Amino acid sequence: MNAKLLVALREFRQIISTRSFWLTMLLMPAAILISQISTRLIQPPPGIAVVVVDATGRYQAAIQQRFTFDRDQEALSDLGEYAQKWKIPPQSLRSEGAGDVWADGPRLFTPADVAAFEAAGGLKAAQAELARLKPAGAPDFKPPKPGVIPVPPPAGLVTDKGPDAFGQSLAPQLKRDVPTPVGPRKIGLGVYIPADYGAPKVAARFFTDGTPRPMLVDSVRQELTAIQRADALKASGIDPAALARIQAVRAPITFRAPPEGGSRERVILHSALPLALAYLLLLAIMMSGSWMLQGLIEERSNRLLESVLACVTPDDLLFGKLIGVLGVGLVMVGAWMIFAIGVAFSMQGAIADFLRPALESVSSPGVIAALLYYFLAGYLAISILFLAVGAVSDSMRDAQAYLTPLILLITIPFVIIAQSVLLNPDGPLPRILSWVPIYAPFAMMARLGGGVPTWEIVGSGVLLAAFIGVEMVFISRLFRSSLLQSGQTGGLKALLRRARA
Amino acid sequence: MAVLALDRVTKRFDAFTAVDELSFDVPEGGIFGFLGANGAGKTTTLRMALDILRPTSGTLEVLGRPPGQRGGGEIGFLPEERGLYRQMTAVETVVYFGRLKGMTARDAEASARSLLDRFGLAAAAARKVEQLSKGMAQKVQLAAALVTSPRLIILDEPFTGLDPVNQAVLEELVLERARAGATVIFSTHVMQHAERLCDRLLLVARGRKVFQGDQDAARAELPTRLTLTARDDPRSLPGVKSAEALNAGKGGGPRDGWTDWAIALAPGGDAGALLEACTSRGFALRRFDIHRASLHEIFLHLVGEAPAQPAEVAA
Repeated sequence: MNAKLLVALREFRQIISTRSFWLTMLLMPAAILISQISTRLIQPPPGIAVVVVDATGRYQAAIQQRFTFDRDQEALSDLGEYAQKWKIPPQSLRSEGAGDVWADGPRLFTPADVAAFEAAGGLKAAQAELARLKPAGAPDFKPPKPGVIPVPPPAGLVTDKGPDAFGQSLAPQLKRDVPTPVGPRKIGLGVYIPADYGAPKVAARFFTDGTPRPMLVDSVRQELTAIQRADALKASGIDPAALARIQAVRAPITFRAPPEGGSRERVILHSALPLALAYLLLLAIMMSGSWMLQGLIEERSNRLLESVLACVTPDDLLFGKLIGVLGVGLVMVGAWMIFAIGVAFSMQGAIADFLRPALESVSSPGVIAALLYYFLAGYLAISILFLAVGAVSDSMRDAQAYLTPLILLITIPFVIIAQSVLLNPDGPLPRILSWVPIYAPFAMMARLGGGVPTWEIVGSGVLLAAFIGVEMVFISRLFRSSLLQSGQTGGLKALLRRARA
Repeated sequence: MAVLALDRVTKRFDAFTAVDELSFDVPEGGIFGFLGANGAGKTTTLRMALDILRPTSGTLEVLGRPPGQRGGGEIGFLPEERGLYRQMTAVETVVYFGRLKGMTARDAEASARSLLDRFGLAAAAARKVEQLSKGMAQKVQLAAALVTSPRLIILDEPFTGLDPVNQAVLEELVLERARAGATVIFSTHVMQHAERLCDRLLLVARGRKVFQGDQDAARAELPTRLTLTARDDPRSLPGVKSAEALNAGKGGGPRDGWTDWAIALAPGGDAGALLEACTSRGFALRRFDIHRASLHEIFLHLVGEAPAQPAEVAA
């Protein structure tokens, strides 16, 4: 076997036999799993039961209808979002009938929309239609869980002795589950409408479990207001038919989706995976670079370099190490990618839902080739810098003097690149940094999802390759002149002198 | 054929000249001692021979070709500064170095096991280097140097750090390899090892050659010293440069008329000729001891600075 490959294999084996390698390898899957689990843990509570006691008998029905309308409106939005996300053509949804209202995606749905939806078979018909039309691999549509479930007053609740007695008897009930059509739920809100509601200074009483629910309270209040306003309008002589027409009026508004590729959400979606790859590159370089550095310093401090150099040339040793560390990086990032893709297609959850469409942005062969090139070239370019630090350091303490500025030099612009790309992938900063060799891999990888002109990819790639060539010449000289020397290097001037030697 | 030839080789590190216009040849076969005090340029010279360092000027040839065209398994090297990959096992280490020198995995393994067995490390072959004692690790390193059965074995201060038992084992091994036809070059600043092992010597001081030749030639560089016990003063004998009465001034004086004398012959003086002169002149003698100069004395004479004593090395 070639000496370089033997050195590479030993380097590779040494790194993968360390605990820190395996901890790092497990870091990414653990992060994804934790985020999946935490997504489930931080999901909103499954909804609350609401008890409405209407001593007047005039408001209860309107409130119930409002709860149903809110739930249907939410279901319509979710249906629209699902259809858009999985690119189900609106025409095919309309042709089936049940999708007339939501086929074009989420918007502000009116009572008329909800009525049309219910008339076309409601949620059940929509679900059946989506099950037929959804693409392979797409998960089933899951309707939103009802957030508000109206329930009759549970046993023990005093409903006929005024609001105070209602409130007092409700207090202990707030801590218990009550049966609802979707399973046991806690009572989150109790509303008592007194018999003389509408008379001056008489108020409807709201009792909560301590959690403020302003939107729910506002919905109930809107219904109470609507009826009282109608009463007032009737009392002032307005024709009931005209009143009904007036109340049905909704201010017309239309939604316009941002142009294709222009919305911030879409930019994020398209840039997410390339940016994640750039981040993985950074992480993998930092980790494997420091492992390689430790290995080299160990070789220097264990005084075994001379034995090795008697068998192989410094260049064999140098390139063997680079190949070995490149192998480590590829294995590490490859394993992470395979895991991430596996999660994307086999699990549900926020990350999985995000990854699936994000993968589409890097599906073209050209983009994949460019990503691969920048990944490998970036890995090589920065690993050489780590190796240079190792070549002139006798101990990790010595190495820190070079390592800290090196890490700052790489990571700080990366953070800026990431933020700039998410704001505007074609902004001046990512474009400028695409032409700075040590930042080009990060900048170009991050930008590739949003589309980069071919000339820019080729130009920046050639410049990066030339930079690596120059690095190779310098590191080769530095390696030969520094490996068996110990003690202070004598600063940057001495380093450059060695590299020129 | 010379296995190692240097022609006016100089190596400078910035302003410091480690090797200065050094020229010498090492013929094939036998044991060649490369002697000098610490910092004399021995290690630098050997590193240049192995192409670990490049000379500032001058040319080198190793096994008939410039260094750098790796001799593969033809050169075995044991550096002065020794270390091994701590996570590798003993046998993996030897196999790894064998493979770096071009051996197949199978041959390297067979050779490694045989050498470890020879060094009494068969039972420790599967143990990690970090679990071995220092002496065992040094044997592993030696096995790594010899795994290819090299034609040229370069040992840089090989006895450093070894206990007397292992020094004897190593001496025996060096002799064994030389008897088997390999050329052994070893550098040392401990003259006793060189005296026991070397056929030929090179003495360097401050990067420059001071002497090259065999031990007899080295001794010829020093005036021959004798101890005589005689009745008369030997200063008048031919070839005697100086004579000093050894028991004079100690209150003893001549014992029954006999005095011990330390004699130094004049340059080129021959002890045999002196003995002949004593006999022909009827010069009464009770004792005629020829003192054989040690390499240590020769070193002091030629270089003017003391090399290390064995005790310092073993410490």
